Amino acid sequence: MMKRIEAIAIIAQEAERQDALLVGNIGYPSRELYAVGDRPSNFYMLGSMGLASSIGLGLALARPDRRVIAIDGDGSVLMNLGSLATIADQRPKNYLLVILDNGCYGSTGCQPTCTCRRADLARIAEGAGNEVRIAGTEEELRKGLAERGVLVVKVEMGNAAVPVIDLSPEEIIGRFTKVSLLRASTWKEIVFVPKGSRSIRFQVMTPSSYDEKGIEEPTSLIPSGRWWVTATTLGVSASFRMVRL
Amino acid sequence: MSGIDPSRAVYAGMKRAGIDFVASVPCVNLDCLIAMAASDPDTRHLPVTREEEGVGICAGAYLGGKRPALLMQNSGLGNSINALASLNRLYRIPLLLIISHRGGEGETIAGQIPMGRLTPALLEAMEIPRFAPDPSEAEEIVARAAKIAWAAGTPAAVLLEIQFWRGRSL
Repeated sequence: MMKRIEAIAIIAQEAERQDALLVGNIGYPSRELYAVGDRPSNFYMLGSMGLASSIGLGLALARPDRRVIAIDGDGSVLMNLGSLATIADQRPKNYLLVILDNGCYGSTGCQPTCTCRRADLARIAEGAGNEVRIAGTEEELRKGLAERGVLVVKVEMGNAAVPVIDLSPEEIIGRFTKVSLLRASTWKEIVFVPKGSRSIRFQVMTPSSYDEKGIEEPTSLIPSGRWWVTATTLGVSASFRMVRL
Repeated sequence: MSGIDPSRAVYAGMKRAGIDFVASVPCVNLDCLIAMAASDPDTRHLPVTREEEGVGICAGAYLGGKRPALLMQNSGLGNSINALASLNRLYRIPLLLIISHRGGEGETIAGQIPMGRLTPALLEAMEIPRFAPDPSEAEEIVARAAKIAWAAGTPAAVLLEIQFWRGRSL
């Protein structure tokens, strides 16, 4: 069985690869996420236990063009089980709820939750109408992170020795909304490729970082003309800037 | 009777405020308003299972650039208090609360009375601005409540009394 922080590290990696907005559950899960995979597009919940799945759902419905992942826990989901029914009812294509189930209230001293005996969150989520997958290994987790619906991951009890998040609520929401409020139109560009130009090179600008990663090889022939360019592949949104070779 | 349709007046205020995302838990008095939100092509409406869940969903929608409102009965305020404080207040997330306020004049259900009486004081304790308009001023006041919520980064509540839905001046 994976440690929770190992699962969180994988989720953080996949979220970055997918350029996903990521909601971290209150307490140690957010602290572990901050320690292993801090990004401005992580929203760290500092209060409102039980609402990670709801915040993620609202975000996914507001931004159907963005991939959204929420990290929740067994204790938190048990506090807001209705959320599983609402998520199933809305079925946003761009949303994945990951439940890290360690069978206890990890942040308060590992008091057992009902999932350590008979309650089965995967079956509850399925009964609520969700597409549900279960992951026990790193490979299953990575595979599940490409999907939508609900992913239940059984993890070991216990917290990693990580510090509290040294960001203020203002900082957390300020840097998060810089990413989450970016509209696709902000980074659509009209591109004109002059006549006679036979190939182009493109640079990818990811909206979260604005890091330009130039792709050196010419990838395709683009006819001359004006182009509105956006792309969404595997939940990765990017704008392409065309450069004449 | 003022002749103004109370639900239309409230919805007009919500539209004026730019509300484009609505979560709701029903009350018999909110029936028409919920139907308006559900049939508005420019608004994303979703029914939620519990008011606190709606607070979370609306917060998420705000983070995604929407202007959310939560329609609920005042009993749902009790279900939402922690989230309104440790989510909205903590991060300064605005939210328009459209609340059917039960338990006052004309109430027929005994169970509504205790929470109905406590509702204004609870909002006061939580430092949530509250408004209780007549139908004739509802459009204006709903829009103003939203404006205050967005300017201050706070929830703001519009309490709609039993008499409001009968179109009477309070």
